[in-house]
Amino acid sequence: MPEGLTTQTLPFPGVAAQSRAQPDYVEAPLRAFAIATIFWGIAGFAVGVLIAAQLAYPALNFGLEFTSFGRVRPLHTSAVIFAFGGNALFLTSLYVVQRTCRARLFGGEETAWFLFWGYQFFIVVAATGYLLGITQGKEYAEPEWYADLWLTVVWVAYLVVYGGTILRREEPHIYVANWFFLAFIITVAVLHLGNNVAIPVSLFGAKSYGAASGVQDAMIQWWYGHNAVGFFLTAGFLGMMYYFIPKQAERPVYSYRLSIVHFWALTFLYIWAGPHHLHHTALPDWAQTLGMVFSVMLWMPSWGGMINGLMTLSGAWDKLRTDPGLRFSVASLGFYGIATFEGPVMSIRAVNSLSHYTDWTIGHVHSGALGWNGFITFGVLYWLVPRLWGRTQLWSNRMASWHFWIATLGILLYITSMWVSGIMQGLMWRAYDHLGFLQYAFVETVAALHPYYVIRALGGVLYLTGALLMAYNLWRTVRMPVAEAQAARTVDALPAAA
Amino acid sequence: MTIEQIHSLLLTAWIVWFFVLFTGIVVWAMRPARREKFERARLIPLREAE
Repeated sequence: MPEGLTTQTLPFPGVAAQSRAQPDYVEAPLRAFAIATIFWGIAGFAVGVLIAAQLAYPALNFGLEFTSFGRVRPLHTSAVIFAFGGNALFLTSLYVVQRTCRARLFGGEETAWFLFWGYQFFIVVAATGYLLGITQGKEYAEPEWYADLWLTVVWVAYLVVYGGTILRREEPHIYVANWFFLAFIITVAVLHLGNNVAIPVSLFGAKSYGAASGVQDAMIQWWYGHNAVGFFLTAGFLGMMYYFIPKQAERPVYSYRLSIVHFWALTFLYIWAGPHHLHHTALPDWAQTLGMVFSVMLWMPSWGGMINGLMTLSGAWDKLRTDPGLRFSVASLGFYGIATFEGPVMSIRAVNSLSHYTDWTIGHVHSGALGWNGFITFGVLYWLVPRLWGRTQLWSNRMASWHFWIATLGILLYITSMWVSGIMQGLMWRAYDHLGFLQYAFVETVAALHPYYVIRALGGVLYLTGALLMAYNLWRTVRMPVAEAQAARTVDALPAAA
Repeated sequence: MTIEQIHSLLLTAWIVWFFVLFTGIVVWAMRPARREKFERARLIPLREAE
């Protein structure tokens, strides 16, 4: 889009950008969050490629406990969700809240720097712990008690900064993106506290034991786990969608009413969906059914939100040809639609009996994570990074287009190979011969997966390559002298003029 | 009334309360009177330049 810095009047009554004096927005820590997003993204994708390769070629575990799959896998999930996704959420929420409230960040630059360094410290403490074997053994809640306590301090400061900025707003209405961000911050705080009630064995030891046990512990864990998806990876990223897609398309959101119904429906439903992770376990049947029904109902707000985002482009679809950043954002909504259709299907108990514990689940998660979370973040970075550094233009739109197609191909290789391997794995596990014996030994199912694991790793390599192109492109963008940026802009404008 | 009875009553009342609350939100959002206010609200991101 990079014509970006809108000086012309937009075709909507009462809207003339840049016509008012702006508050002194906090930006330096946001630039740091942008750099951290890119850095942790590449680190997380690279570790993902490593563990994908380990599954295909076990020799890559190197025979060391520090590099074994069991320790490196949580390093990958935490790096991409909490480090890459988390920094992207800090970046966008703190950017959006200032601009939609027309207020300087509460607590100013110093508090924002505390959030930045406090969060990076948490990431490093948690990640190094995993490699040393320090873990609570709960998926997505692996950090031990001391790291959890530190994160609580940072997160409460985040809530104060965010809420404080909303309270001092000049704009009377709280724009819908802020509702999503606020729901994300508050719910993640509640989930984090609820799932990490633990008693340390000793004051200076890393080990702790959780307060709940048995099926109650499992239910609390998946109440946490699924709402980490629902509020960290969905509500927070929907906050991005409601601000940055209108900015990129230069169109207001399609329906504000739909956005309100979307918000409340999502909030009311998501919190109950967790039990679908515990089908056919010791969890009572009624709780399993409850989780399944709420998961199926979630299809409606999910698609309502996707339609709201896509329809924002009506009258501006031509921008997709010229703006690779917007192309990422729109493709992310497509992947969001796929993942939120597939999720409710997999939550149905009969389907789950085939899909559970297989690679299908991994493929599902990655169509959401790579397609939705990754792509919308790339779209935001291509739009926001030039602006945070006072540029209006990317160094290379062509390179961004290459990123888009390489990464899309990578995702397609990933999810198609996991569909095939997951369903095959599920079918092999349940196959009986005519005497009633299991048809396949476990090791035969593992051997059958090998080619798909190679394809998956290749998909990961492509996705990582795309992210490296983005990092180089954005680095050149912010290093580009302003005069050159102007020239690049004129050259880009030529074909349109011709 | 025992504590168990109150608990079971509250469980049912909670479902009814959530249903009423959500219906109320939808009705509030759909009221024609709010059209103009929402029309202004959705332009908030576009009113601010970078």
